[in-house]
Amino acid sequence: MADMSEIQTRIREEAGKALESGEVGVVIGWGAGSVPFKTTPVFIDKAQDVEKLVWNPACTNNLAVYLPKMARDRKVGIVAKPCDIRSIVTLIREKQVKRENVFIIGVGCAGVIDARSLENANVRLSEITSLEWSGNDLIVTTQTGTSTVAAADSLREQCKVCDSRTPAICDAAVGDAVPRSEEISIDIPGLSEDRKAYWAEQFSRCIRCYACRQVCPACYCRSCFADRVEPRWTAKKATTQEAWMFHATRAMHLAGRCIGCGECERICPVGIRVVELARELNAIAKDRYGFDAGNPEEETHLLGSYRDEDFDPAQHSE
Amino acid sequence: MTDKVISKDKIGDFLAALEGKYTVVAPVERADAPAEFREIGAGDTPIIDGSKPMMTPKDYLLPRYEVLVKVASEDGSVNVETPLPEDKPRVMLGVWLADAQAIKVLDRVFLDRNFVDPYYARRRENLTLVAVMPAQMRWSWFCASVDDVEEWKRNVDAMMYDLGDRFYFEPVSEKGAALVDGVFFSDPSEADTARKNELWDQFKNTGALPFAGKALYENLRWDDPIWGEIAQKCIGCGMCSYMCPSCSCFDIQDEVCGACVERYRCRDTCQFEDFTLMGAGHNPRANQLPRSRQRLLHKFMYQHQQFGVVGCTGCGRCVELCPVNVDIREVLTRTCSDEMEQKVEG
Repeated sequence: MADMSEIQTRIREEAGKALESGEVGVVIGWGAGSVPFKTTPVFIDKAQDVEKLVWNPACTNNLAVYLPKMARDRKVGIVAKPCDIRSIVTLIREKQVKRENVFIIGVGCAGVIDARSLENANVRLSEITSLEWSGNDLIVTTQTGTSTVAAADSLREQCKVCDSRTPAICDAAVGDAVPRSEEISIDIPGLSEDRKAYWAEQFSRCIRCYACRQVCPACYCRSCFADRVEPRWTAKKATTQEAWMFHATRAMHLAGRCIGCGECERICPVGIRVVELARELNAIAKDRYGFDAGNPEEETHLLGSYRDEDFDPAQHSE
Repeated sequence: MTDKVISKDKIGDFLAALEGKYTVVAPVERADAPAEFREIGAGDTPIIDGSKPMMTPKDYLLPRYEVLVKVASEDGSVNVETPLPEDKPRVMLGVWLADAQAIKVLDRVFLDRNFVDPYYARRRENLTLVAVMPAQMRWSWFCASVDDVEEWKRNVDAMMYDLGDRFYFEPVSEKGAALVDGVFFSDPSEADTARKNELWDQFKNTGALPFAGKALYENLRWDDPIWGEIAQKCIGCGMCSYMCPSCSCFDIQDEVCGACVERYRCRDTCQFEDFTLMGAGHNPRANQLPRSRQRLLHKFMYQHQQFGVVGCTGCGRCVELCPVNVDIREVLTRTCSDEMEQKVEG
């Protein structure tokens, strides 16, 4: 399998070609972060700047969030992981981005890291100089040497259960297909009897910053219900009840649309497991309607289609 | 005022004794989330050694939801209530020094001689503020680069230093000295004092950056191209200010709840589109660029001009949490570098 530095070189080549040929005016990708365990979005508009593009286990951001604004009336290049590509598929299906306006440099992905997990695994973040995957392990290099952290202690949660590791669509494929790794079990409380108490505790922490919404490629509404004053759907005060209204409504809006990239969960400053809601709704969508969000083979939207054999909740009261 | 040490196994009893005289406010551990400053009660695990990520103390002093006025009508009469917080002695423990200094910044806004906010004042005025120096500095701190931390230390009532099995306790004010209870404290050894000084030196050297000691308010520029660069990647989530210990912007909303109306205060931020949106539809900060510029200039320039304080205390939360890695340390380094100055002037 191509190692990460080879893939990085290929990303730069493809970005350079697309810029030089004039096919795109800008390539969105990941650049070196201010610390080695982070990356930052970069917008490359000159072929000589492609050296700024990086590929490493900290390429977490789902850059599709920038597409609805940036690719509205011009073609842009984007470096994308398989999950990010599922977001792009959704944006195309929902007519927020034209397929011909994106040049996708698709990268096979073995998962990205969660800095909080690393900290919990007693990695001193300040000492990290570089990170690299080796098989199922993360190789952490520090000023004093290297150590190995198991994937279970370093991967982001949704990467542990991810089964789309190869780009579904792309214009330039970079790196080899990545085989599905053995699933690492994660703790999902599921629909237990006390789920109301569970979510009440989660939402009680919400500070109403709406960062989950801002980082979400599927939350592209120009005017969000949460910001509306007339009618006011949810008040701005940070109470469990109001936060519940916000998160439950947002989850319903994302049913069959969220592709589970987990950006909302990554950036939540109070650790609310927002993506669990979407995961649950997507499981229902799959179970009842056979719908797989972000899959390019789906012909239409979950909520925009009807078949006679569709599950009818009114006739199946649980 | 003499320095003392207190063994960690006496902390539980010390806190219990404090609770007899004060309402004790400290970061309380929560599963999956940063600890939160609360009035500690039964079953709470306070973290007073500063070792864990925590929400800011402003969440206690300036709650995310605070009812200012409640108007209720009952049997034809109208009852107006202003639920001011209880006036009682409070002690706040486990506060990072950066956060303690951020409270000084909040004081300038809410206890200004021209306008005293009675809600904030009630919680703040009878508060004994104890800052803690943890055994390990957080990687994101850059306190010593933004301001004179020796001065910050004089602004708290007492300092605690985590020396492993004990805390070094350094009273700064009479209020701080009043916390020392002979039963729990003893005199420090020379080794204790040396270790304390070592911790302090470590803190002063943490996050020492090229802009340290520079007058940031003179170096930041309105027309710096960096604001456009930040704005391009910024997603406008506002977490940098919601999680900031010194950001103080709030919104006031009225809400009808049954037969009553409540007017409450909640958070707001210059990073949101509707922060400056006028009723008639005009928005003077129409896109992210002026919003990104506003936050930095407000902290480093306007607050300095207005109050003589630096509005950022280098706590590093925005550095750790920004989802697109806009690192304020990098921004300040770049805006203060000679190269950048030449670029702007040339």
